[in-house]
Amino acid sequence: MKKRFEDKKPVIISNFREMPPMSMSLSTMRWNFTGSWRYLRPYYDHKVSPCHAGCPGGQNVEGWIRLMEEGHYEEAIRLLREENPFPSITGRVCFHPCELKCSRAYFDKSVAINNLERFLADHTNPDYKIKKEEIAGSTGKKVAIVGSGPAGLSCAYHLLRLGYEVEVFEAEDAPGGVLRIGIPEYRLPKNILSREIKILTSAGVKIHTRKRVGKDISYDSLKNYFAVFLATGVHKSRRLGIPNEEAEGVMSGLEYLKKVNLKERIFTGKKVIVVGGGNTAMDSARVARRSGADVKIIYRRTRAEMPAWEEEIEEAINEGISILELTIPKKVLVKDSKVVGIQVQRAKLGEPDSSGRRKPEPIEGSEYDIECDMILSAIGEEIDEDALPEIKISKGNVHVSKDLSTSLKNYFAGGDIIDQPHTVIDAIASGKKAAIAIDCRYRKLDFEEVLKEISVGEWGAISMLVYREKYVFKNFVSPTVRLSKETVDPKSINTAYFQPSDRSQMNKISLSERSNSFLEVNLGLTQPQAMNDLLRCFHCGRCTMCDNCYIFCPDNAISHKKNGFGYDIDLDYCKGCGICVTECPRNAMGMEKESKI
Amino acid sequence: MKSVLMGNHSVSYGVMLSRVKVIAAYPITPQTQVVEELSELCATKKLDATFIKVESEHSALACVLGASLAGSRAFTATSAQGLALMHELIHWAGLGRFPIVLANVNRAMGPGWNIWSDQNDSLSQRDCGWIQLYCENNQEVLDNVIIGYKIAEKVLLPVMLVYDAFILSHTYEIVDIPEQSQVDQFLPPFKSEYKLDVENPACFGGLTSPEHYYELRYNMQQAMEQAVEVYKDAQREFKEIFGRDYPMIEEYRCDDAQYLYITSGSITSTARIVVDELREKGYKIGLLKIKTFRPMDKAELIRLLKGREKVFILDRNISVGVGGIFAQEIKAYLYGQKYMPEIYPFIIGLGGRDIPPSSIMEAFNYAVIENKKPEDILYIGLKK
Ligand SMILES: Cc1cc2nc3c(=O)[nH]c(=O)nc-3n(C[C@H](O)[C@H](O)[C@H](O)COP(=O)(O)OP(=O)(O)OC[C@H]3O[C@@H](n4cnc5c(N)ncnc54)[C@H](O)[C@@H]3O)c2cc1C
Ligand code: SF4
Ligand code: SF4
Repeated sequence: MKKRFEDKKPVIISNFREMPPMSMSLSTMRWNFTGSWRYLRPYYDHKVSPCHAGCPGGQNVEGWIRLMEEGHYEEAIRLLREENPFPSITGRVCFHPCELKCSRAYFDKSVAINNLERFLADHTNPDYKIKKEEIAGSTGKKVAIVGSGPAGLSCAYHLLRLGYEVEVFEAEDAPGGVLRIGIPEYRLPKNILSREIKILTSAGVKIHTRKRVGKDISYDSLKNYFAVFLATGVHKSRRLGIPNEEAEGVMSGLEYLKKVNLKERIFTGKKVIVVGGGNTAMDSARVARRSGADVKIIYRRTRAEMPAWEEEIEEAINEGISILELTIPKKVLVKDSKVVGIQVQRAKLGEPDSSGRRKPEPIEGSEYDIECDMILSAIGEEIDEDALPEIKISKGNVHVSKDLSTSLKNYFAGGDIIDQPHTVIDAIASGKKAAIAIDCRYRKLDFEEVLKEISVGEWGAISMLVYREKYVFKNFVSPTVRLSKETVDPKSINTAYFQPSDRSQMNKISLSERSNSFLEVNLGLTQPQAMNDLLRCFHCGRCTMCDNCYIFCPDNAISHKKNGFGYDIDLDYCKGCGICVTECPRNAMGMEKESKI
Repeated sequence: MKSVLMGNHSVSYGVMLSRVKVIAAYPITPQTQVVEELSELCATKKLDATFIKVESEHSALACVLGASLAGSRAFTATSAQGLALMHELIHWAGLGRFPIVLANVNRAMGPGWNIWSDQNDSLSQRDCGWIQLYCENNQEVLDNVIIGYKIAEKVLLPVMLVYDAFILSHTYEIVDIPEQSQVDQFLPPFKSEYKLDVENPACFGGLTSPEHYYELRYNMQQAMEQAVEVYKDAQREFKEIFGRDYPMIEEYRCDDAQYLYITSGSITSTARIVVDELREKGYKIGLLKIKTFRPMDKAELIRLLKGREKVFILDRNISVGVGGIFAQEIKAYLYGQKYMPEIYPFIIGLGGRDIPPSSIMEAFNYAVIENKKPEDILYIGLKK
């Protein structure tokens, strides 16, 4: 075939003999600037993945999943730790709200994000170190943190990396808060907790244990610090409010857990009644069960209304704990000032109360007795005002403004003592937010303005990475910085490109291995299981260079970027048909109106 | 190697021997086994081709056109409604000059929903620039796949291989499967001059202004006319290698014939028996089998009809409003010619109605024994 002309102008043929057999261009078609037809323009976007916005801690889940998929585990964990210092912990105990938002949940089952997080943490260097270059230039300021639970330690970690000297004061013998004294060993092994905390201390965070502020040292002694972050948690158990509550053998669930966790000698009954439906109730019951007791949980409403994590309830039942629903404790039965039983009353569900859950209504004359030798009350915890300085409290929580500052000058607060969900990741998130708020004071930045720039999606998550790159290091390198404001709607995923696949199921130790032992129940994903779930991720809103746009563009207007990741759109020829955007499997593209000239 | 094959598998073997590189097809009764066998041949690597599963006939043909333009020998097969669904791309294949082969099993168009033999499906595509090859038996089916590629690639027109539903598609016959080496000798690898080529980029099928469209169609007509000689050359070469012969218009006992049947497809075999019977009775009668419909060997047709008395054209199709399509075409070719016979256009066997020798005999009885006049349309076997 004759080499075609390179002329950038149309060719006119004067007789049929010169004509090719079929309609085809005789020059290149470069003269035909189809771009002039365009009134909408496609663009590549780096949208917020639902998991990223759905993690209260603002973890760039899609980002570390992608790095893992490519085999870059150490980079993945570094990216993760930009936002959350404790992946080994959250990877085990986080209730993973991210998975509720995961687009895959709308297709078959969400990606096993939480399990992958644990897998990543368990399969990377256990001697993780905070690098020198990660730590911003010293601010010369000292911050005091009261309480070493997840909120306090998260704040310490982020402040350290922002160039502060940090001192943590902890009342107990060892740091960790509920992670140490509440959550049992079989869910979160203590060596894992200690390993995570060591990363902080070896980078310079000072933790003073057995220093209850307000008792061992005074709040007044903290007045020379640039700021104080209060994260004392909620440890005061609510009382049952029934007769004979003081009898020997009645104890709060949290206290019981604390004693077991700190390996103090503690007698567990043969027949144990646990009152309540939250996590403390489930943990107390499962711990008592491991000590060989026959355990019953009594709860005023039904299983559906239990605030405990569903998986915990399931495991409790698996382990042989029975749950008596719609059962109200009336009276502790005592003999020789020792517990011998509990009188309870049956209830039925009535109208919804202020929490939206249906209120239990006692049924007249339905009282009966249950024999037991121990009662663990776990109907909720509240803040202990004695542990706090004089500070404004509203509705049972420490009152805070948007930037987590309190009524006391230079005092910030976070974790369970403020009005937010009582979860580990929310505690971590608030610690991070407070660190940013404190740093904004130092750098004289308007926190609310900063918040707009660093928010991830519309559910309240924020990004420390963006904050650091934008305001501290001022080097806009990571793609996260270019995050668009749009969160991917699961409906916008082009699921024609994906096949349904099973979600990996983590292996667990057998029921017989659980009795009389505190071995970790969940074994973590195996390598193939992890791979399976990594590959299930849609990578919502983020280009993976799958080449669909490149293949589908009818005008060949899309080309691979010469050096590096992504594509260029040749706007001389893009006619704005939008096929690339429609065919992008993961909504990593958008269309915008051509601006009027 | 002699084997016993159904018509559908004969197609598959023809495709395999032609070393087709890309196959995209959607199954439809009565074509399904063509696709089944091909997918098996691909899966077992007996045929080194890409088999593309598609969601419709329209997509099947689109895939095949894309593959052809990329320089591969490509194939698809269908029938009736499937062919109709392809219609837009049937044009595209013809007018875009794609040298592909499509096997179409003649099946009646619905509604009345019907899966039996009838030529309306392929004939209704006659204006799209395709060469159509009608087959009488399974050997011819297999051979014509190979011949099909030979001529398609020479004249750059698509070829539709046509054979009867069930009567051929599902009937087993002895078929001589040619040696691959011989087929390779007859059919060299496909070398496409006009194809997508990154070294010499071009846009195909793009906007063509009034300035140029007319000439494109003119050139197509020229190609179709040339196809007559190209077909004959291919035929000669095929005969030399394989010893089998498929003339564009095949004569049967025509030498001194006063009367002629004109047939196409599998009816021809039955008509041969009728001719033999009548010859035995002393009638001077013969048969013309029309092998190619578009192009028609006009000169040969006129030569063969000149001086005959009566011709009975059997059409297993009806162009409603006009009548039999073969009859209509043939009449048009004869217009203005001298010494032409009387034409008796019969419609027969629509929707797969059986055509025994007695039905074919009716045509002769009407025109010769009863000595009746021809009409625009004559019907055989109509329930009156
Ligand atoms: C039994 C139990 C199980 C749970 N399970 C889960 C789970 O599986 N997943 C999940 O996401 N969440 C879980 N939670 C909730 C979660 O643990 C808490 O929301 C989270 O620990 C709150 O963190 P924090 O830092 O605010 O407080 P805490 O973890 O309570 O830590 C507060 C720390 O401050 C110390 N302190 C208090 N007063 C002073 C003082 N005056 N001076 C010095 N130190 C002081 C305390 O000793 C304590 O160490 C569970 C809670 C409980 C009780
Ligand atoms: S910390 Fe929790 S919410 Fe965040 S990504 Fe991990 S599992 Fe999901
Ligand atoms: S599919 Fe992947 S990117 Fe999308 S929400 Fe789920 S984990 Fe995140």
